[in-house]
Amino acid sequence: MISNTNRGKSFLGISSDGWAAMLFLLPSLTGFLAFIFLPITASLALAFCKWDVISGLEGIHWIGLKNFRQILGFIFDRQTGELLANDPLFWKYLYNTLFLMCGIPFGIAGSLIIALMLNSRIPMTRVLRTVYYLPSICVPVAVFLLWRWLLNNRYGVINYMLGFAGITGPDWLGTITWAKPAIIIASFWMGVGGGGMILYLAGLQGIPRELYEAADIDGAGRWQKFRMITWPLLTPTTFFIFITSVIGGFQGGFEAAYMMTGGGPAGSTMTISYYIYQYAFTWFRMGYASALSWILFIIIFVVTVINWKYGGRRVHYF
Amino acid sequence: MNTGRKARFIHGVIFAAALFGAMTMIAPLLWMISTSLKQPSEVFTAPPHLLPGHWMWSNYARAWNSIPFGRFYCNSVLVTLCVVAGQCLVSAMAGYAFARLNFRGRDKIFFCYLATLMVPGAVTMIPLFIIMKLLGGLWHANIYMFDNIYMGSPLGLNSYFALIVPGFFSAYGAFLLRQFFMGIPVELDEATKIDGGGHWTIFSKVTVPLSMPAVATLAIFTLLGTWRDFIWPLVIVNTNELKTLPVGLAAFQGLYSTDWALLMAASLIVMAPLIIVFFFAQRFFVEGIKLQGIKG
Amino acid sequence: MRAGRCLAIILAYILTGCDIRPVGTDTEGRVVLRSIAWSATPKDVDMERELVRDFEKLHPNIRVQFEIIEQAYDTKLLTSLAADNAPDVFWVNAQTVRSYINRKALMDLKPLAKRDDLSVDDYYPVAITPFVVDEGLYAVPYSACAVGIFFNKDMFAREQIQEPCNNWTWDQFIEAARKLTKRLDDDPRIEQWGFVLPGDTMLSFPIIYSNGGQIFDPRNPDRLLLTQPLTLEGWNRLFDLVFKEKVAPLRGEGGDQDVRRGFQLGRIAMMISGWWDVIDIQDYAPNLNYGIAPIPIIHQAASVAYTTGHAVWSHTPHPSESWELVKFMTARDSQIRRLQKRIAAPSLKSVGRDPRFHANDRDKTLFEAMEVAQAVYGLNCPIMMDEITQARDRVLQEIDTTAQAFGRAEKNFQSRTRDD
Repeated sequence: MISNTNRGKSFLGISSDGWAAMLFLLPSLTGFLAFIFLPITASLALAFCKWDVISGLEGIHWIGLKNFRQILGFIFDRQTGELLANDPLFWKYLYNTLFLMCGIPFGIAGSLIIALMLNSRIPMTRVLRTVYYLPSICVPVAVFLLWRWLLNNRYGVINYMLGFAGITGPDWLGTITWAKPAIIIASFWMGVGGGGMILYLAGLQGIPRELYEAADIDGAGRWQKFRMITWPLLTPTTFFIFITSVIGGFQGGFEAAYMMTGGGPAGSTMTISYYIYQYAFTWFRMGYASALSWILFIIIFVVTVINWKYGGRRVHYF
Repeated sequence: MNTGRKARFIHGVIFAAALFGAMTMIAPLLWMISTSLKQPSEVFTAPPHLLPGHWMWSNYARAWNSIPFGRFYCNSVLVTLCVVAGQCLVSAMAGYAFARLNFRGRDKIFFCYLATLMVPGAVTMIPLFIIMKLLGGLWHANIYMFDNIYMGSPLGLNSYFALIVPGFFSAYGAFLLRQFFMGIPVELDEATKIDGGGHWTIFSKVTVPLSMPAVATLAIFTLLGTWRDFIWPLVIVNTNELKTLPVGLAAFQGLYSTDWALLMAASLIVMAPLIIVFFFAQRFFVEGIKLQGIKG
Repeated sequence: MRAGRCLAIILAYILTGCDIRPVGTDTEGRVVLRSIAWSATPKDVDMERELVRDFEKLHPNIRVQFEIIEQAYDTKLLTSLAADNAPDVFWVNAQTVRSYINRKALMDLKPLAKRDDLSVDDYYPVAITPFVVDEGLYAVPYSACAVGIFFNKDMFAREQIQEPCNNWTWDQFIEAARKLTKRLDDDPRIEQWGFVLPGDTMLSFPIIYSNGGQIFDPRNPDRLLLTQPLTLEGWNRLFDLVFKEKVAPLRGEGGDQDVRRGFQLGRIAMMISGWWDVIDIQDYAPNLNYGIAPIPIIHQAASVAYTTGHAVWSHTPHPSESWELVKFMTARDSQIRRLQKRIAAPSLKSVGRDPRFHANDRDKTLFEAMEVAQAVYGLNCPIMMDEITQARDRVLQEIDTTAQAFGRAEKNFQSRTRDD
């Protein structure tokens, strides 16, 4: 994959590639250290502390693993014989987060389909691309308010349309069963023409025309061309979108839930990120919020490593 | 002949599907426009009124005049342009190192970068805020500007520096460009090397020009993210003179009640440049440089 | 043109960095105070700015950098407190103020208040109580507002029901709600509701208080009394409106936004709310013919108060100037100006009780409710509210019984706040 021909020259025991790498990484690394690694390290330290934020830096107290024990620990209830979580909400919101992530594959497939449509020779592609991108440009508060009205069980357009089909629409945002699917639908609509579609469009530009021309000569059909050329050559893009969507998915759901349901009903749309935010800024427990964040980090890290190991193998580069 | 007709039919179907999808996508914009032109009493009705009864064009003037839009626009443009330029350059250089150079610990450093994406921003914001304050302490200068308003240090809190520079560094950008750079055939690098070019020549003459779609994609993502960023400008800025548009927009939302018509009018004023930029910039990443010409 | 200006600004910004003066003063030697506030409605913004300008005219040696933070106020305030860079004067509400007092983030204003003869007795007791700890005064309320039952007069007239009187009872309330709940013949769903459960949990408390129950021990606000029989009975009365009487929708209308729209559109005949909805109705449903009645009496008259005050940061370099600002912003004149522009309800008894300031019966009912209202506060009030909201939702979703849900809430609250 990477050229090895330039390995020979070296200075002070560092290869010329090494020197070049230092220079190329210098601006990035400096900034990362100051503005990203340092705050992250600080948050790691805070995960072992108790801090109400209000009292300033003097108010930080080291409490060791207590936050983690509180979040992950279980107690055996002798009376009922039940195993009770110390923080049942953490597990519940983790489940909610995973549930909401079920929308990711649909989002990626939708983005790909739209990108393919807009990449074929149809009129007005420029306008259409802009229109598909609109939900991503819109100010979130406007979009979520619109969705609240669309999903309203009495005056909402969606239930009105379902009524034509003879279906009595559910109370989307008011019941535990339907609130999560409603948020998945709204998020799908918001994201499907956004970043993923753009990346696929950019990726499609990278596929050489000759490959399709050669396939035409061989008499391949549309589906075969997609299977044998487009899809394999888009794997780096798909891989990138998938990895970043999963990372984003674990941390996501805050905005949509905050504006559409406020986390309800009965906490059924609360996600881990919302929980972290509440602990940090509503309940004045920054240490606990940091510990939650680091547990989330470990989960995301493990999932990403798995994705990387198994997904990375299927990625085709030129 | 037959295949031509079939192709035309398929394109017709695709076009119809694309149009249908587009109609659902454009709904919020139309709804925002309609709301922005309504009287408050018309905003929430059942069934909803699609068009305003009274066309309140004055809402736009009211929205424009109720906050210092000119000032906020100026700040937003400045901050966004700087962040886009800075992030594209920094990320491209890092992406090149990760994609093209062989050095010890490369993959480990890269994974560290990637890992930074996995820590929620809610818990790193306060440390970052404190770092900005410490940076401000490095340069003990008190700045007065805009009619003698006290601004503090030019590096610290409440400064353009704090608004712009942290935005340069994004693991997402480095990751995105690395993936694209890896897709560029290595033979092109070799050819440049044989001609006596170093890494900087390869980077600036081969890799980046060939990855313009990717760089443009990163640019548009960064532009969108920075233009709409709310929470960082909110906490870092203390004076109206440094505020950006999203922070200004919040003026139309109270804790218990919101001026929806003005909020929508103001949102449209804020969104308009993004729509225009996207419309014209898309050729850079979707109609732009094609690989095949250079490959041979 | 604009780019040129921006460039000039940056250059000026970098080049003028050699002017060293004491922090917190401007070039003319005036003291610069930073002050932040949120806004209940967008109309507040202009009024507060106007008051700040008048303050500056009165005190030429002080300049106020005043910011209104509508969204994420807590985030902004906490971040600046963490970095020891907080505003000199900021708003606090009754629910969270004890957290700030307990962590010593607020200055004790008592000595200054004593010096200037400002008496806490002038305020409604319910408005001042949350801000007083161990004889210290940590914030001065500028506005306090009790809640009542908003009712749609046209709907009452249509059903030929007598409008609620000043001491109406729970039975009369249910009777009215039953008559106001209607079904459409061709639609199995209910067309119109007599009442709706409030989205904001705190708005449910008056019913519990009216039933003689308590949410927390008034002598020790950090001790919850959620499982007391009268408290549980009060909650059950609310839930019965949904399950037994079927006069209120099952959380069908979502959050407060939708409750309010339902009321404004004439789909809901009664709701519990306060001053902010008077303002919202002015804008969004100017033709709505509505009145405000007190909370119906079960055992006693009751209400709940929403209070906001001005506090001074304990590390402020300018304590006396900050106090001047607090005094001006919460003064009687400022309260009357806000009231006359219909921005905020007063926290001073002398204003609220003065018939001259009762613009109409609705205001009068809300002001009178202040006399029976209770304050909601406590060191861990936000966590308490979270647990109660979850318990309420679990009952409404029929996951738990009332006793189970609130028993669990009390236990969770204890385990979550054990370390404080």
